[in-house]
Amino acid sequence: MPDETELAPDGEESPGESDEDLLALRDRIGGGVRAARLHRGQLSVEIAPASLEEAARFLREERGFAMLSFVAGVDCLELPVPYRFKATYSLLDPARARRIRLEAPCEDDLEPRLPSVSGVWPGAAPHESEAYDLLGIVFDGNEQLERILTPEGFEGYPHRKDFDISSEPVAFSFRDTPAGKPEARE
Amino acid sequence: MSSEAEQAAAPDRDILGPIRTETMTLNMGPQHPSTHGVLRVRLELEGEMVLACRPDIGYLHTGFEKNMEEKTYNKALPMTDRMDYLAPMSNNLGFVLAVERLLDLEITRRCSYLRVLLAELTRIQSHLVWLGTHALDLGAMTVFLYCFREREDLLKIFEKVAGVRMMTSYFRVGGVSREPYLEFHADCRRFLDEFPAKMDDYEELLTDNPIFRGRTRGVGAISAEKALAHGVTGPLLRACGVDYDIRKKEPYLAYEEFDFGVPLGETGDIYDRYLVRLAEMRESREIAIQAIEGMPEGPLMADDPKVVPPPKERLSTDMEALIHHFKIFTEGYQVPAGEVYQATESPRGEIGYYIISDGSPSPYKVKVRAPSFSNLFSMAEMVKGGMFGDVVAALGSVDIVLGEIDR
Amino acid sequence: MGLEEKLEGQVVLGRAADVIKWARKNSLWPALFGLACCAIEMMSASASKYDIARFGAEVFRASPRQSDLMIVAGRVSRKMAPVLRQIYDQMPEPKWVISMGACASTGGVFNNYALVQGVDEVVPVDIYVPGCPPRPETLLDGILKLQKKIESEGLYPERSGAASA
Repeated sequence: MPDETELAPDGEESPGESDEDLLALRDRIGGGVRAARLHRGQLSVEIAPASLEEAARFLREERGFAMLSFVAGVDCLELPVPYRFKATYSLLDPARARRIRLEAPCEDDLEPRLPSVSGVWPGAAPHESEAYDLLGIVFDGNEQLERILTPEGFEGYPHRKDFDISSEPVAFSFRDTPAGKPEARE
Repeated sequence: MSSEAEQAAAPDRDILGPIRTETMTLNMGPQHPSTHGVLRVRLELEGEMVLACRPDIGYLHTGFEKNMEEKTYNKALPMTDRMDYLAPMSNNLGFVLAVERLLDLEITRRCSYLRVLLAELTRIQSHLVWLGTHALDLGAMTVFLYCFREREDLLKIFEKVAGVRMMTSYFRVGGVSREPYLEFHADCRRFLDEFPAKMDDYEELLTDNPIFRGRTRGVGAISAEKALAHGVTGPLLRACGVDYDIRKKEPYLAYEEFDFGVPLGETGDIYDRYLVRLAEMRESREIAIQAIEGMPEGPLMADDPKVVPPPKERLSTDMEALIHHFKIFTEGYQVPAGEVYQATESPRGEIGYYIISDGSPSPYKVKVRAPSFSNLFSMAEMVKGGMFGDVVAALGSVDIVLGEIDR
Repeated sequence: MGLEEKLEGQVVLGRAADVIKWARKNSLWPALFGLACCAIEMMSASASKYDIARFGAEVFRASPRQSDLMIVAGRVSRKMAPVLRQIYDQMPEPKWVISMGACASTGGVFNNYALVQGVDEVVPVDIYVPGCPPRPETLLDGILKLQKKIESEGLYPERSGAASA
């Protein structure tokens, strides 16, 4: 098991063995927990993609994390980590008012894939679709996965770090006609 | 082919034969008076009954999160106003709290109280728009005119505080953009004193109105368990009876010092959501009054010259102040590397900012957890098996803002 | 003519073009077409305090077929632009467009992949209303300016680009 503070930026505390959710998760999936960090009082746990679904199910059914707050895809191109894409899952246990973040790195940098957790929390499906649309991370097992934000036929994944923010041509057929851009009348 | 030709040749026989039934797919929006913006909903109908419902979003996708990565933290802040444009200050609040958490910066007590006061006024303002438009969807025009009348009073206060009616960008990292004006408390007080009578007016028009009750009671309900599984938050979740209010359970600012109730519903139908939001407005009024009465003395801005710009009057006399001012507004300030997620209770539910910093003056990644996003997708559960006309009522009760859903 | 003498005080005579333009400018029917933040200010303009009805433009129509004014209130995304164009094409002539706010007019602060940089790339615009969002008074001013424009233009205004889509 890698060192707990291996990926930690400066000024971070180690969660140690005092966090019971982390301990329980370690008991359950063992090596699936790759690292854990405590930053500004917030716990985030890096999970191997293969163990993600099991971890999610365990946390929901046995640790009370009834709500998935959001799923965020992250392009780590410029961050000092050995992978390109990861997805962050923020969970909430409303009874204990406790939050935990799971992070799952994608193994393939060119075709990022992760197992879907929409079977565990149905509310995950649209969030996963958003990450797929904006970053191109495919979530296996999400039946509703589609590009939900960008227009039909959009090329590229706009929230990737290597995607240029602007200077896209406007695709309207009448711009190519001799009349060109319609002018405002005087 | 041949059977179609036969049917065309003998239309009479077809009319007299058994009536074929099939489901119909209906498209609603993206330009529709009841979608509160540019939402498209695909509906699978059998007669009047809704079999399935699938929202299609993205018609207002603006690329906020990508734009914020290109800007310094201070310049990214005005983007947040324009996401949930009905509650700009709640958005500002979530963002500045997240950045302050990344910076490990402590704000002053007076600033906390001022932010609480304005956040609660924003909640009232946002609920007023919801109430007005929701009633308008269900055919009650007067409530809309009343609600917008009161909203104007609040916008006038916001304008005098921040300089703008809607896009205030008033909360800044480490404090607020400027001192509130002299009669600020008196103006708030006057509004809050008059407000309960106005609320009674709305209730008189709606609460026992048989048409309103008929359209909302027992309609569009969702169970607590399903709501949690779909990530529903805010008044929608509390209308199902789940006692979860971030202001109470994970207090930020100075909310633990305030005495307020969390209104809960029972059945989770549209009528309960209406009651919960109305009660919330009254609670917000209580909080606002407590904030005015207990407003501490002392400095407003945090004591950190690297982040908080110096007072304007010092710029002409103090070289160091001028340098700090220049640096803050040109290159920004360094934020230590790390990731935080800060959840706050907006009028629509849990608005959260997940910010990754790489140590540079602009955020590496910003992900906004928009409450309407999850709430909207839970609508499929609400309308399934109901009547088509109830879709409009359910949609209005969710109180969506497309700006934050599509971002 | 003699008609005025016979029906004294009951008839006012004028040129048909003036009467038609007078009717057009004082009964603008906007399409109910809110996009983003500006739509809320458009609602404010139509609500109790600002009362757009004073200028005859309060009949917001849900169907583009019944309206002659499109107030593009808010940012236009690339996904929305074709829809917007279709709605514009569905409106009967004569029709006018007000581009409300910075985003509709120029793309505003969002110069990126997602937004159309000015709705005049999609439809011809008559009046640009500045602001982010414009105050209701600013929108009312835009409507008054449009009324002046309707009064001064011909009965059958030429519109470039409108017919080509």
